[in-house]
Amino acid sequence: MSDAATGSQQDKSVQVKLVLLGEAAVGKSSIVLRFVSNEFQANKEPTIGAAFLTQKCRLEDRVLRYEIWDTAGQERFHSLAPMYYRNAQAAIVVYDVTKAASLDKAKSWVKELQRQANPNIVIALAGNKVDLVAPSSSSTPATPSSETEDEPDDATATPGEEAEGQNGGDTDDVRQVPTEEAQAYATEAGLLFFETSAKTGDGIVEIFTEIAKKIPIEHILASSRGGNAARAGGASGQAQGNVNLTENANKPKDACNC
Amino acid sequence: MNIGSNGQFKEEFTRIQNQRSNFSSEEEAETIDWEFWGAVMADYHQFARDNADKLASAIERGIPSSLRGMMWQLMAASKDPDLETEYAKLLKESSIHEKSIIRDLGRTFPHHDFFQDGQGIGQENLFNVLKAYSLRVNHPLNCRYDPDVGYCQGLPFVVAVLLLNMPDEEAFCLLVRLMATYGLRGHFSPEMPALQLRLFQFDRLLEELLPVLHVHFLRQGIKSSMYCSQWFLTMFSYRFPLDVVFRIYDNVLATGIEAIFGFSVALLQKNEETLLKLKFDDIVDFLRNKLFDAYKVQIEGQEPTYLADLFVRDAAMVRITPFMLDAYAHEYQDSVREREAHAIEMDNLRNINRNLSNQIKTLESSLAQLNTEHCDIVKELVMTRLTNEELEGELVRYKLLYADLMHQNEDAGSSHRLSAQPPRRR
Repeated sequence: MSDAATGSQQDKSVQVKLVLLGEAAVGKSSIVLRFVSNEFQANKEPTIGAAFLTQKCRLEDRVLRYEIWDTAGQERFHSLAPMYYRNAQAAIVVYDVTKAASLDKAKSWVKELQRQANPNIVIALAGNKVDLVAPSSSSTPATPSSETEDEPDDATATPGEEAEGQNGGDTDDVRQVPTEEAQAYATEAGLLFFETSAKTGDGIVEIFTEIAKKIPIEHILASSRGGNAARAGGASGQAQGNVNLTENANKPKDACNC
Repeated sequence: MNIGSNGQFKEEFTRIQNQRSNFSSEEEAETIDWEFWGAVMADYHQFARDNADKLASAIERGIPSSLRGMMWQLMAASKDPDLETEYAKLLKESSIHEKSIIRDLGRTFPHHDFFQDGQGIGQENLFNVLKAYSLRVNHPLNCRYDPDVGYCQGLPFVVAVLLLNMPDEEAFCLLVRLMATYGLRGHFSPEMPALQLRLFQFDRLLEELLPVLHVHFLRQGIKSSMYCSQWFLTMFSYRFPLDVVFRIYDNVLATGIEAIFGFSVALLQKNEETLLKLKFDDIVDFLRNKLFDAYKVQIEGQEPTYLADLFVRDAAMVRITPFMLDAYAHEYQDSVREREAHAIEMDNLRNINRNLSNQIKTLESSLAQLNTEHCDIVKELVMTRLTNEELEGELVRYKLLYADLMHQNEDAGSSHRLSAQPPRRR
């Protein structure tokens, strides 16, 4: 579904700014790397500051061009985050299914996004590293095409975590966040929800595709034509003037009285 | 600088010199001017005072790798036996940051032999230095003058570079020096104030020194925060070729953190022509992955090497004066103040707005109440009118009735008179 072709078709595509948020070492960069280059690297360097990547995603007759901001997970970089989620149309908030605390952090990111970010933002919750736990019936089915990796070690967890076992609490390879719990939270908070594995590719393309379906594309086209002239040149190529009223109806109702 | 430790360096120097002369035949092209470096090491401060230019150009040409660790410490005057003792003590304590540090150990230079092994000395030393530093700044005594840096991603890359050139306790002392005296701390402390300043200064330098590229970046929507935070946070040690990184550290330690600006501008300058031809996506990709290719020498079947000398020379040619950096810093502080004032104003306006909204809401609800009251009254009024009309109708009816009755009465009266009169007339 995703299209690796770069450049040439730029004018026809709609640009969607997407930001990845979540605790350190849950696999944000790995999810992006899988989506953008269909690769996986064990022991990936932590993201310092933020990284920017782009990838196209074909959806029926449309091409979405994701502009992906991959942020640093450590709390210290939190103050930089608003810079990246400002004006974002979509966000993927990632947690690690083997670390219960990472879901709490994800929840606080969701709260911050719902309070501070663009009110129409599409948020997806991703429980990553499902390859580490026994397959759960409700997890997303694997995409056979993406299984190009055959690493000898089957742990995407960053090394040294064995040591955490001594402190009690965290142990590797044990699911700490049941699918049902995260699903229930996602439904309650109005989020898309997926369990993913950047290592095997499970659920990665799906999450970007589902986000693409939920993005109010006409809304973006309309708004990018107005302001934002610096980089909106590509989007304005598409002559789709009509504004989708059903999408606009999703705006919070209090938008008019203050 | 304490004399004992200087003596220690001298011993080390002699040892290395002997070692080197034994194996010199195996050494590649690196020819070390032992006499010169011997003189430098013998009394660094004296030598630096007397032969500043000579030393500067020697450092620019590169410190011999076997002397690098010692030279770095001499330049930073970081050797401190007391601090080393403190380090040894701190190793026995445990830090709240341990988990985060451990998580990043295997992710620091994951392709370098020294740091690859999870049980190896490289990762162990990395852990020790980072843990000790995270404790040091948490120490109650230091809280007064050091904000809580603790542990921050990016730091391991700096520490790793130090560890590749010196033992851990010396790396710890040099790290303390870099953070405190060289001003690296502000890059890692909460809110990262110094980093924000660096990015601003860098933007202004670009505008001043590479105006064409600056405009191109502006048009393409490329911001410095998109690519160069890591240049400052790790001093180029994040994913860049190590032999070049060492040369960058040589210069940073000799002249200060500001040297990073020269290297940054030089890199962009070298690649300016290419960058001017690229569009947004390709620029971002290029800045991330191909920036050093311009200095790369690739010989078939061999690991690529880099023209580090040329790169350092190019960076030295970039004319960045302290005056420029100071002026930009002032501009930045002004803009921060302005932004803060603006934020306060926004806050005030927001409060006022909120109050007004509340007022509107109360007014609206009282209006609604008045409306219903009004409706009720109107309804009542209509009802009253209806009754009124009914009553009026009734009144008319009664009036007619009354008139009728009056007529009847009159008629009755007159007939009575008629019937009564004739007998009286008779």
